[in-house]
Amino acid sequence: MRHWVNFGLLFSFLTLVVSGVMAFTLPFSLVTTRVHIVFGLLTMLLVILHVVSRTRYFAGKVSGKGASRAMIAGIVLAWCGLVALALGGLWPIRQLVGAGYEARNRAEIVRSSPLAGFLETEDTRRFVARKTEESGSTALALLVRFRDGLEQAPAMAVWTETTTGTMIETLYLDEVLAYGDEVEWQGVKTLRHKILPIWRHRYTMVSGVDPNGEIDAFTASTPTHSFSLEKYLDPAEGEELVICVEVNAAADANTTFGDPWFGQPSLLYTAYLSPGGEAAYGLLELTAHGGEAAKGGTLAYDFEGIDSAKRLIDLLLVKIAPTEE
Amino acid sequence: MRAATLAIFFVFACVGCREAGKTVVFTGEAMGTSYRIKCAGGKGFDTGAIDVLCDQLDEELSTWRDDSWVSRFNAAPAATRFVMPEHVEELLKLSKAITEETHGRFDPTAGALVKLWGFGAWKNEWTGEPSDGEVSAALEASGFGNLQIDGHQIMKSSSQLMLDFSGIAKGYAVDQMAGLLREDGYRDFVIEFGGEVFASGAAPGKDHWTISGPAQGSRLQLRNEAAASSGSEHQHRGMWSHVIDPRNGRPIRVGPPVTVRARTCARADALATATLVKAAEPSKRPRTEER
Repeated sequence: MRHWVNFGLLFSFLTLVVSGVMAFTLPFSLVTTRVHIVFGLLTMLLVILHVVSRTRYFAGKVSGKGASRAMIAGIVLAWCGLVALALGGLWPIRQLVGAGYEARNRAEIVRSSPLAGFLETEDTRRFVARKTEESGSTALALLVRFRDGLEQAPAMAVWTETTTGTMIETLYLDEVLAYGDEVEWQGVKTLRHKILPIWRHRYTMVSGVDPNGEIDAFTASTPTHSFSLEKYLDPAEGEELVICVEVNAAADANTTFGDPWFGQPSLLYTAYLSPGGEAAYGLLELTAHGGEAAKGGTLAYDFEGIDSAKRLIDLLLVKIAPTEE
Repeated sequence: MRAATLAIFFVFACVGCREAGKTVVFTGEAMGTSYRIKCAGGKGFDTGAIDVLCDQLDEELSTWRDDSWVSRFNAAPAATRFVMPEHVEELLKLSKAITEETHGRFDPTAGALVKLWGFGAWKNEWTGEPSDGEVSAALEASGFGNLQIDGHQIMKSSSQLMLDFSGIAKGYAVDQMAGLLREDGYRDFVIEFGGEVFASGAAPGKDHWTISGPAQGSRLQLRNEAAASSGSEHQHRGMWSHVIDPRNGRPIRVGPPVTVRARTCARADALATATLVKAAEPSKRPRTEER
C-alpha cells in the first residue's frame, strides 16, 4: 500500500505541476483545467492516505520536545507568512502572479458579463442569452443554427452595439479566441483580428487594445453610452441597439478569395432591436463582410465572389423579451 | 535542501527582472467613463489614489449629481457667496484664460444654455426648441462678467447663471492623474480618460507614444503632450450638436470631430470644444490644431 501511495503521489504531483505551469503560462484551456482539477483531487486523496499511514510519526513529532517542536513552529510560521503574503498580494507573490499569462494579457482576454450565457445544444446550434441584473429573467436570446453537415463550426462572435456603432457588450466569443490575440484556430497559429476582424476592431475601440500593439491610446469624443446592456434592455429607457454576429469558416477558399487557409472573409449579420412592449422576434440579416475590415474596421458591402460563406448559417433568430418586474 | 532554497530565490529574482522592462496597464471607471493608464517600466501603482481624486472631482464639478459643489452653486440665488474648492478655483482661472483666448467659443459659464437646449446632465429636461427670448435671457445671464471672484469666494449676479465644466473637467482630471503618477516615480506613461489623452515621456524603445485619432487611420505621436477630441457623433439631436456656441446661445451643427494637441490635457480638452465651434463656422473647418 505504501508503495502505491508513494508512486501514486509522485506521478500525480508531476501531472499537477505540469498542468499548473501550463495554466499559469498559457491561455485558459478547459482540457488543462480539467486535468489539473482531477489530479488535484487525486493528490489530495493520496496525501490523506499518506498522512493516515504515518499518523504515529506525526503524533511523535507533535508530542516531541525541543528540536521537534521548534521545527514544527518554524514550519507553521513560514506557512502563515506565505498565506499572509498571498492574501495581501505582497512581494514577491504579486510579482509572481503578475508574470502569469492571465495578468500579462488581461486587456486581451475577453469575458462576457456573468449575466450572459451560452449553450451548445448540438454541433450545429448555439444558444446565447443575456439576463438582466434586476429581474434575473432572460431579456435577450439568440439562436444560431449552422448548416447541417459542416465539418467544423465556424468561428463566431456575438455582440451588441449602439445605433452609432459603438460596442456595448460582447455576449459570446469562441473559447479559442477569447484568451489572447495570438490564437490557435483549427490547428493553425494566427491572429484573432484575421479571423473576426469586425468584432476585433469594435473591441479595439472600446478596450483601447490595438491588435498590432502599435497604438498606445485613443483620443475620441467622449462616449456617452454605458458599457453594459442593462440600460439598453430596460424598456423604460427607450434605448435602441443593434445585435451583431460575425462568423468565419477556415479553409473556404474559392476563385475570388484564394488564401488557402483564410479563404472567404468573415460575414456580419445584424438586427436592429428596440426593447420595450411585448416580446418580439427578429431575423438577423447579412449586412457586410470583413474583407477590408482588418485595415481599420471598414465594412465591405460588396458580396460578389462570396459563395459558400453565405451558406454557413441556416437561421439567426433573436428574441427580445419584456423584463419581468 | 539548500539547492531548493536557491532555486526558489532564482525564480523570484527572474520574475522581478521581468518587471523592469515591461509595460503595465491599469484600468478603472470614474466620472461616468473609463480610464486606462499604460506605464513603461514597472512597479505597482495604487489606483485607489485615482479613485479618490476622481470622487473628489465628481463631488466638486459634476452637474449630474445634485449634491456637487457646482450643482449647489447653480441652484443658488444670485448674490449667494460660495467658498470655492481648490479644483474649482483652479479650473475657473484656467477656463477664463481659454475663454479669452478663444474669443468666447469655450465658456463654462454657459451652463444655462446647455440646460435650455436639453443636453448633458439636462437631456431629460428637454421639452422642445426654446424661444428666441429664452435664448437671449440665458445668454445674458452667462459669461464671466456675471461672476464676481474675490479671493477664494465667488458669487453670481444672475440666478440663471450656471457653471458647466464638462468641456474641461476630464482633461483636468487627466492632468491631475499625471501628477499622481509622477509623484509615484513614473516618467513614461500615457493616460486615456474618456477619449482625452496625456502622454508623458515615451513608450519602451521609442521616443514617443502612438495615439489613434477619431478619423480612421489617423495617428498622433505624443511626447510630454496631450491630445483631446471633440465631436457630436455620440451626442446630438438631429442635426444639432450637444456643443453650444456660447456667443449666440445656439447648438452648432453636427460635423466631423476635431482633435487638438496641447501642453496640458485640460487645455487640449477646452480647446477641442472651442475648435469644434470654430469648425462649424462657415468656410472654416480645422481638423487638428497644435496649441
